Amino acid sequence: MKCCKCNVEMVEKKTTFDYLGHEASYPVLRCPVCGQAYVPEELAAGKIADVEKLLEEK
Amino acid sequence: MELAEYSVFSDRCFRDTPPPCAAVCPLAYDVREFIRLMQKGSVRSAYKIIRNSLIFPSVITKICPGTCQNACVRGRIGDGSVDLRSLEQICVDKMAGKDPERYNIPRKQNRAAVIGAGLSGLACAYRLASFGYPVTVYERDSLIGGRFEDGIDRQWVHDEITREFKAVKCDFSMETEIGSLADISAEAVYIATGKDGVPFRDEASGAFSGILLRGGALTGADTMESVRMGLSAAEAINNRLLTSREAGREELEIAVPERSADRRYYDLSYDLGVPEEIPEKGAAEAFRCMRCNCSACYDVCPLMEKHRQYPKKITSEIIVTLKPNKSKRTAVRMLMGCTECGACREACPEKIDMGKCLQEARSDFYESGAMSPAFHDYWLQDMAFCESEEARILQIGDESRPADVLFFPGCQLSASLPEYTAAAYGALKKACDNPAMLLACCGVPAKWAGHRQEYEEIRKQITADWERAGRPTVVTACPSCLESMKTLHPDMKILSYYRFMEQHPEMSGGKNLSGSGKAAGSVKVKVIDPCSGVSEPEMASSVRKLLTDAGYDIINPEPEFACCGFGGHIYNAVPALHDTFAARRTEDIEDTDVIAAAYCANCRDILAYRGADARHVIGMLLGISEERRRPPELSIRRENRRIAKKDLAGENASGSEEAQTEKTEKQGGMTEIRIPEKLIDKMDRELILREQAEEIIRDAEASGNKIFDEKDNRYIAHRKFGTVTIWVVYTVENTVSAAAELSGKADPGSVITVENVYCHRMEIREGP
Repeated sequence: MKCCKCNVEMVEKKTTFDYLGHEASYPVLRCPVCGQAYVPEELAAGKIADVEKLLEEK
Repeated sequence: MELAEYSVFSDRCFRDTPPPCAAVCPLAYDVREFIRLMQKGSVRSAYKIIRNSLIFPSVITKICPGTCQNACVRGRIGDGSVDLRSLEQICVDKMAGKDPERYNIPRKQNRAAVIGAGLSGLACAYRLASFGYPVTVYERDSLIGGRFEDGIDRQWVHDEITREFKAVKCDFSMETEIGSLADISAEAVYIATGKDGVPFRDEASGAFSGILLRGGALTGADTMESVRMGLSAAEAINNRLLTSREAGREELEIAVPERSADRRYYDLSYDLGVPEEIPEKGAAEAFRCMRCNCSACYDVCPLMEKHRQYPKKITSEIIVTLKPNKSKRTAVRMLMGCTECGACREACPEKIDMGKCLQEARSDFYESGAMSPAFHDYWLQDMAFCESEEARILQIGDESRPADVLFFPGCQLSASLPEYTAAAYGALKKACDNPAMLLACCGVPAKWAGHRQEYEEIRKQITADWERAGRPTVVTACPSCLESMKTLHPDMKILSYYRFMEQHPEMSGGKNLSGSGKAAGSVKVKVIDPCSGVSEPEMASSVRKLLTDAGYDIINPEPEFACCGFGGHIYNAVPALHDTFAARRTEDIEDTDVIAAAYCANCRDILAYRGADARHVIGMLLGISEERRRPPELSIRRENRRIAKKDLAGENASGSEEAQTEKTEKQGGMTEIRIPEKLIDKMDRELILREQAEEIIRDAEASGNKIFDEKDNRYIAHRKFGTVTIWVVYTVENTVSAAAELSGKADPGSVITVENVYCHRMEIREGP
C-alpha cells in the first residue's frame, strides 16, 4: 500500500477513532508523512461496526 | 417529558396480571408457570409452585370448592373449564407420602404464638416458622387441622399436616385451653379460634403487649379465605417485627380484598386448539389451559417480538435508558426500532399507544444529546434536499386568485415515480378551478428523528405556503403526509388523493387501465394498505372502489394496514428489524402474479425491491403503471425530485430517463466512472449515494490524496460525509499518457471502475 500523495509505503500504526464522545484505537496502515489512513472493509464492517454498536448504547 | 410520565403510557396494560382463575382464588399462585411446567411434565417443579401458595396441598386440593373453574375463560367460552384441581392432584399424588424438603433457616429472636390449630392458624404458624420465628401453636383438641362439614377424615388431615410441619420447627401445645393472653409469652399472637371461637377481647386479652391479629372463621371467613388470612397474618407479623416498633399492644387488621376476575380477559381472542399428540410426560388437561394473557400488541409488532418486551417493561426500560449519565442504555435499539405504524395501538384492548410513547422517548433521547446522529442523518439530509431550492416549489395556476385545491404529492412519490406526480396533477386539474401544487416534505423525517424543532419549522413553512395559495383544500398522494399533516394542521381541510378522485369521477375514465392486456376483472390485485392509513380508513375504501371501477379484481376487500419497514426510519439503527417488517409485508406476494397495489410510494418501492409486482395505485388508475418496475437508486431519487420541480415550473419534461441523461451530460468530457449494478445495490443498502462515491474519486484524482494497492492494482480513497466516512476502491483503465504516468492521475477519457464502496461511523484521527 502506497500513499499516492507522498509516494511512500504506508506503515501500520495504532490509530485513534472517535465516536459519540468516546474513543477506540486500532492498528491501521498510515502514511508516515501525511498521516493518511487506510481502513479496510473487514475492519470497518467488523471490529469498528461492533464498537459503534456498543457506543451507540452507552 | 418527565421520566415518571412514561409509566403512565402502560398503566392500563394488564399483561401478566392474574388471569380470572387466579384472581378469584384466595390462594392463587402463578397459574401460567404451573401450567407450563405441567405441560412439560415437570411435576416436581410444578408442585413447588402450588405448595408455596396452598401450604398444605394434599388437604387444600381436597377441600377446595374450585372457584377457579367458575371463572375459567375456556369455561365461559363454552368449551368446559380447565380442571385445575385435577392437575394439582397429579402433583400431590406424585409427592404422596414423601417428607417435605427441609431448609436451613436462620432463627429469629421474637417469639410468635397461634391460638387454634385449624387451617388458618396452621397456615400462619407454618409460614412464621418458615420465616425462622419460634412458634407455638395452642390447640384445645387432640388433633390439628380443624373440623370439616363434608366428612373429611380428621385423622388423615392431622397426619398430612403434621408431615408438612416436618420441614419447619414449630411447637404444638395440644389439648391446651388458653384462658387469657396473659398466659402466653410471645411478641405476636394470631387468634384463629374458629367459628364461634373465643376472640380474646377485653379482659381475656389480659395484659398482652405484643402484636395481635384475628382471622379465619372467627372473623367470618370461609375455609379458603381463612387459610389466606393465616398466611397474610404471618406476613403482617413478619413485616411488623422486622421494623422497629415501640413496646406495647398493637392490634392489626387483616384486609380481605374483593376477589373478582378482570373482565378484559374474557374479551381477548384465544386459540382453543390442543395438540393432537400430548408429549409423553405432559398432563393432557394442562394443554387445555390457554395460559390466558394479553399479547395483542406483541402479536402484531416485530419490535416487541424481537426484544421480547411488553408495554410495562418497555416503559421501565425507557425510563432507565433516558436517565442522565447512564452508562448502559438498554432500550436504544427499541427507541430507534419503532416504525410508529400504530399496529400495537389498534390491537390493544386499551388502545395503549406505544408508538407515541417510543416517539416521545426518541425525541427526549435526541434532545439529551446521547443519540447517535448517524441513525437519522441520511434521512435528514434527504429532507433538507427536498426543502432546498433544488426540489421545493409552490406553483399556483393563477396567482392572482386563491387556489381551490393544493396538491401535495409528497417527496417520495416524485423521487420514485416522478412522472406519476405530473400525471396525478394533470388528472387533478380536471376537477379544479384553480389548482396549485406544493413539492415539499411534510416534515415526518424530522418527527421520526426526534427533531421537534425542525418538525415545527417545516409545519410553519407549509402553513405559510398554504396561506399564500389562499387556504385551499389540500390533497395528498402520500398516506404518511396525510397522517402527519392532519395532526400538524388541524385548520386545513386535507383529503387523500384517492378520496378526492372518488369524489371527482371526471379525473379518471373509469375503464380497465391495468395495461396487462387481460380482460377486465381477471387481473388479481392485492391492495397494500400502509400503516399510516390506519387513521384514515375511508382512504382504503376509496382505493378499493377506484381500482374495482378500473376493472381490477381485488383479493383483499378488507383493509390490512401494516408497515413495510420504512416508517420511523429505523433502517440505519436496526437494519435487521427493518427487513423483518418488509418480509412480513411481502411474504404472500413475492414472486406471484398478483399485483401488489400500493398507495404509499415507500411500500411500493420496498415491495418491488423484494421481488413483488408492486405498482403504485396512481399509476394503475391513470393507466401508466409498469410491470415489475424496479425502484430507482438513491441518487436517481434526488435527481428525480429536481426533474419534478423543473417539470412543474415548465422547464423540461419529467421522467427518470431524463434524469439519467441530464446526469450523463453533466459528466460530459470528464473521466467516466462506472459503478456495477450489484455495487449500486450494496450502496443503496448502506445509504451511500452514487454522487458521493464519484465526488470522492474526483477529489482523489484531482488532489492525489489516495492510496495505491500495488497487489491488486487499484486505488483507495475516502472522505467524511456528515456522520459517515465513505471508502471507495476503484481501478483506472487507459491511463496511458506519459503525463498521466507521471502525475499518477487518471487521464480525461479514461475509465474508472468502482470495485467496492463501504463506510463506517467512527471518525479517524488522521494527520501526520
